Amino acid sequence: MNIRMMILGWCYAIAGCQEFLPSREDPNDYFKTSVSKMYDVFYPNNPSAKRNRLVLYLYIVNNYDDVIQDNIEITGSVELVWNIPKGENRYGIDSKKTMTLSRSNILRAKGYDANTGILTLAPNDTIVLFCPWNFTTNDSTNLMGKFNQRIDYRCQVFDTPGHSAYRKITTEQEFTISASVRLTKKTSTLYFKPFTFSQCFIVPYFSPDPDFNCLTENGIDPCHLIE
Amino acid sequence: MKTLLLIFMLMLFTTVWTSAGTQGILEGRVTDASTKENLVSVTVQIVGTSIGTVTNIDGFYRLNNVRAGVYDIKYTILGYKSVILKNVTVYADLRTRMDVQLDQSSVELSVVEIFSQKPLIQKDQPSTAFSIGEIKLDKLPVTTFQEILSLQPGVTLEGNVRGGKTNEVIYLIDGVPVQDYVAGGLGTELPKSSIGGMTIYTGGFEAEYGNAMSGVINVITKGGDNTHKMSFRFEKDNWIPSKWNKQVDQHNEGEFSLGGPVIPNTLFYLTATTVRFSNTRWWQDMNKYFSSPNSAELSGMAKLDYLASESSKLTGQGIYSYKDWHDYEYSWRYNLDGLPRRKSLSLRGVITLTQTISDRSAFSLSFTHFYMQNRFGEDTKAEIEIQPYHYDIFLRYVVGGKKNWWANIQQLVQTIKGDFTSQLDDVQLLKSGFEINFYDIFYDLVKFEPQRTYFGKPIENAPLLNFSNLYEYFPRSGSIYVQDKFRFSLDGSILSLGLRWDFLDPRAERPLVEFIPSSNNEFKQQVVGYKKTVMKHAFSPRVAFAAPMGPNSMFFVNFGYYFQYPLFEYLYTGINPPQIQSGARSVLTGNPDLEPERTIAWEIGYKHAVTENYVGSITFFRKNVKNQIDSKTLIPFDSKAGGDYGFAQYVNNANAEAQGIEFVLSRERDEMLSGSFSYSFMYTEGSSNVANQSINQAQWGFPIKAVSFPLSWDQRHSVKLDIETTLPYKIIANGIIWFNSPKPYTYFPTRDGFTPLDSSKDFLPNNSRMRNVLFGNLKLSRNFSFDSNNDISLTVYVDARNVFNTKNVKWIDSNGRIGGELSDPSAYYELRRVRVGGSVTF
Repeated sequence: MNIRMMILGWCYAIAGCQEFLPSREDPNDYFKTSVSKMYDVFYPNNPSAKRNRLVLYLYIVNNYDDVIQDNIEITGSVELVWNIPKGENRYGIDSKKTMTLSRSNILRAKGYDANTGILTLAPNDTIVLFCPWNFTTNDSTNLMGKFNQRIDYRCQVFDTPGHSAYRKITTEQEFTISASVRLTKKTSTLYFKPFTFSQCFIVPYFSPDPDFNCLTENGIDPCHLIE
Repeated sequence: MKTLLLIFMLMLFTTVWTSAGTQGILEGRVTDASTKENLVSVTVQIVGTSIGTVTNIDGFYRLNNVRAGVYDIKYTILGYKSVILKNVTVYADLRTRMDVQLDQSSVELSVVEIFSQKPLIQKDQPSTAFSIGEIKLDKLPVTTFQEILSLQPGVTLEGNVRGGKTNEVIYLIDGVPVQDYVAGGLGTELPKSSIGGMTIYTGGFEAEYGNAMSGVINVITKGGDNTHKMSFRFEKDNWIPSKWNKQVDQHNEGEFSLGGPVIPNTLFYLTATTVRFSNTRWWQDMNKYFSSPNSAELSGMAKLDYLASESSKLTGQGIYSYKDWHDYEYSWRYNLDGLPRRKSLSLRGVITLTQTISDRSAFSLSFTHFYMQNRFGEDTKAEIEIQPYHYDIFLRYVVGGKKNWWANIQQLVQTIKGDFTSQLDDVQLLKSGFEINFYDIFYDLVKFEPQRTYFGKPIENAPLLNFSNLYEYFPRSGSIYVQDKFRFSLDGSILSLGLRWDFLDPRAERPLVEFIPSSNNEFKQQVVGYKKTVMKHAFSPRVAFAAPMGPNSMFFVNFGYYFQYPLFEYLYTGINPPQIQSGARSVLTGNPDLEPERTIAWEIGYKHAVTENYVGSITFFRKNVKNQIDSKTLIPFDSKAGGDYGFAQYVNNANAEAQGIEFVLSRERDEMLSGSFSYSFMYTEGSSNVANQSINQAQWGFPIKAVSFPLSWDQRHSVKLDIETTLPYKIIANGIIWFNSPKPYTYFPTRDGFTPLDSSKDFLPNNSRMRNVLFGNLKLSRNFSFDSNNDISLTVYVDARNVFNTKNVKWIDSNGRIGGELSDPSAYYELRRVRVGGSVTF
């Protein structure tokens, strides 16, 4: 009888042992971040509406199962780095552009009340920030003049008044974007994974008459205009 | 002729080795069992040694300066049966009294073995102290010194003794401190098989012990003897497949010890080593980042005793410990490889010469070399990159980045210590001694931490706080003491008078800093000179009195001053001239002119042997602590200098007090059932919990009012029960139960982790209480002996900690949440752990 009691007691002591740590849910999944870009092409027939810029879009999605609400802050920065082509000697060229973010970069935020300054993000809500880049770097160098160029023989334009020439398109350039943004004072800084992409650009010109061969849709990658 | 023979035998057998804090006295009276007459010239010898004496004309014997430990004592005289008293435990600083009765016998060489019984009341102990022998230590379900300390009344689970801070306790091995003088606490580990016994003082302690305010733990190590012995022990907690038993640390431990004579009666050795591997309580997270084991430890001791002559002994001892582990913080669980790897190393070598001057006097001289190193981080210093951390969206978990914490801290302490003991006459025992310590403290720390709100939220856009430091200093300290103990008759009262003088010479210069206003409430720091610090010293008188009140009772009272010098971190942080001149400023600045902390304490107690098995005692104590270390901001906390919270320095401006009453009832002298029950009621209040309190509060934005509040270890009620019993099939069970009333915490809620819920309310520290704590540990062991002397034996055991599997709360956040916003499981003490092991001795 005593042995049985002892064995029972021993089994209880062992079988009752359970200390699990709380399950792991990656907190990085609470907010999803991503970056995209669009080349806002040049409109030569409407000089006042000139574009020719690269626009970066930062997407932030509330992946959490609860509402987040607080006073909006929007601080942070986007850093764009031109990855100088291998083998090319580009000494002295500043290849970085750092752009500060603020409320003026909000493109879309459904739960943002501009009057009160309160941001409300329900589950799956998205905020989109936009950040245009005009090809200048931190030391005000215009990189458009540093990119290698190719001639687009299908399109004749005026590069200066009275002087016609063939349109030029840059060769494919590689860039890496990294960004961090803070939405409110009481939430952490969100870090975007570095995003690398390639892009060609159209070298600025003007053309008073529309030329079918020079038409370029907004958002397309001009790299394919020259085969 | 007989007198000459007596004197010769006294000189032949008496070997007096002394070292303060490691020796006790064995004495008693030998009488005829039938006639009750005193027996003269009975030979009293410690078996296996050459230590012995003979009884005097009153049948009385005394062996002074017997090293604490467990012995068999043999009593022989012609015409009587010899008696061997088995397992007599001699405790350090105490008298062990063994009265023996011998039966007449015409048969020569007949021997009777008797198992000794410890006296119910230790009448020469005028303070609260507990002695634990090796045999008992082996049976208890405890592992660390702190766990053993927490068994005593008036001590918390964390090791706060009678309301004091944990670093107010000093740890000694064979009378020599083994402290970490920079960060506090114990500086080394010892294998269990090398421990011969332990004395724990939680009440007053004599003048030979210093630099401690709450308690003294003196561990006595074993040595080799004339018998070769070897033992091997192994235990693990994951002997059942993990799918049935998750409650493991994946702990494996092995211990080996070997001892015996190199040259019989002349040269002895003992060596013991423990190896421990564990994946820790957090293995489920740790194993995702690191390969097993997450923690590895090695500790050991080696000792050589050389009996150069009957009156001289030379001992060489080495103690080493090494630990390599990964830190764990719950908020880093998704980025554990961002936490620094840790290593600690300690090496201690001691050479001790003990010399008998006469049969009543002896002295000892020891030289100690003690080196400790603590490393944080694996990179070299040059590879460190200081980066802000990445957090999850709610600023709770650190999801990216490496902890900005690298350190190489080394301390070397060389000690010369001398002690002299003399039993001047039958009444007076005089002890005196000195100690000088030479330190080399090297401290290289790189540490940047984010500023946080009081509620723990990091303030991302605030500059990181710089705690970095680099310095090397060579302070010195020392002491002289004299202790005179009077025993007014052989069974009479004790008066103990002691005086101790301690000094500390920081050997540093304090920078004289002027803060020059610039503009917009900003200040520019300028060092205008340096002032050499002066040596600090203190006198500590100690008085104790104990008197028997009848054959079964005693009364005692003691009073004393106790001093403790500040940790070196508080003296030297951030004052190094090259560091200041380079412009690198640390958050907190040390103050080498800090005074020692001081406690005035007294206690009064009464013990009574209720029956031949039960002893009860009641003790009242009171302590008053002054000059505690805290920090002080010296310019407005909203200034811009030093990173937004001013210039802060360690100062002596805090105080505390504690008082309480302890009841103990113990049952002894019964192999079937023994143990003790204690209840203590006490309170402890003060003006500062930790040395960084003021600077923390200034950073958080709400200073604490200058009032006393319950300190974080204020445990009002505690009940302890320990029982040893023999179950059927010779299974020995040792159980311990602790019940503690709730400790305080600060309830100051927040809505969002940044601002208080009600900012109109004053911040009152420790204004709420947590929950009761109930713990039970159980150890079952069974010994199998393979010979009649038990020289070859196997012991198997099961050691269950928190056997009731209670979820005991360790901490609660300011919102009243256990484990805070993350429900951090470290807010609970460990749940049940069961280890199974065995040891073989031969």
